[in-house]
Amino acid sequence: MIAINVIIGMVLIIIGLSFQVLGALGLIRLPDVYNRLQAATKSITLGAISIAIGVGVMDPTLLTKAILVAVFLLITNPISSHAIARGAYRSGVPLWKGSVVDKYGPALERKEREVKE
Amino acid sequence: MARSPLKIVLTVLVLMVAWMMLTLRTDIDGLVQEIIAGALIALALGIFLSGILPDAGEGNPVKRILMFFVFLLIFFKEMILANIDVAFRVLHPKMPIKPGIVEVKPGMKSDMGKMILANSITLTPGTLSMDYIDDSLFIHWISVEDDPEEAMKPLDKAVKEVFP
Repeated sequence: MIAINVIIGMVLIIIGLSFQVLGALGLIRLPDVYNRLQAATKSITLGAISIAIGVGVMDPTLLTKAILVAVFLLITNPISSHAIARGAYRSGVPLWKGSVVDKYGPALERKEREVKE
Repeated sequence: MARSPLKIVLTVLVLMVAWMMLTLRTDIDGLVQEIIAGALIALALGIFLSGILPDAGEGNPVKRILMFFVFLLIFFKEMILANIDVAFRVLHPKMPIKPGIVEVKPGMKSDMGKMILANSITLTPGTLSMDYIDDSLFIHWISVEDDPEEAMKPLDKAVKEVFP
C-alpha cells in the first residue's frame, strides 16, 4: 500500500514534468525570441514549482524548503525573462513578421531623443 | 525615509519565518536553538535592512496583508490558466498567435506595486512585460486583444489594493 502523500507528490511531479515538456516544445515551435520567452517562462516556472512542491509532499521534512524554493522561483524567473526580452529588443532582435503592433519601438526612440536633448 | 517600527517588525517576521523554514528542526532542543538564532539574525538584518527597503506605503496594514492573499489566489488561478493557454497554442497545429507589443498605463503609483504588477503579468496568460518608460508599461502580447487595459484590469486592481 502506497501512502496517500506519495501519490499526491507523484501526481504533482507528473503535472510539472508535462508542463516542462510543453514549455520545451514551445521553445522549438514558436517563431521569435519574445514568443519563445513567453512559453518558456510560464511553463517552466509552474513546472518547476509543481515539481518542488511534489517532492515536498512526498517527503514532508522537505516541504518548507520546497515552498521557499517555489517563492524564490516565482520572484526571480519573471525578472530574468523581462531582462532578456528588454535586452533582445534593445540590441535589435526583430519581432516576428506576423506581429500586428509594436508600440515599444517608437516610444523608445522618443525617449532616447529626449535624453539626448 | 522614516524607520517606522512596523516596517522593522514585519521585516524581522518575514526573515525569521524564512530562516526557520530553511533550517527545519523537529526535536525540541534544535527548535529552541533555531528560534533564538533566527530571532537574533533576523533582528540584526531587519534593523539594518529596513533603511534600504522601500517604505510600507499608505493604508491599513492588516487589510493590505489580507488583500495580498486575495491577490495570490487570483494570481495562481491566472497562472494555471496561462499554462493551459500556452499548452493550447503550442499543441495546436496552426499555432493561433497574433503577437505584438502594446502599451498600458497601470493605476498604481508606488515602485513596489509596479514591480509586482510587471512580474505577475509575465506569468499570466499570453503576456510578457518588457519595459517601463515613464509611467506606461510595455507588454508583449502573444495574441493582441482589442483593449489591453481591460484585459489586465483584475490583476491591476488586486495589486493596487496591496501596493497603492
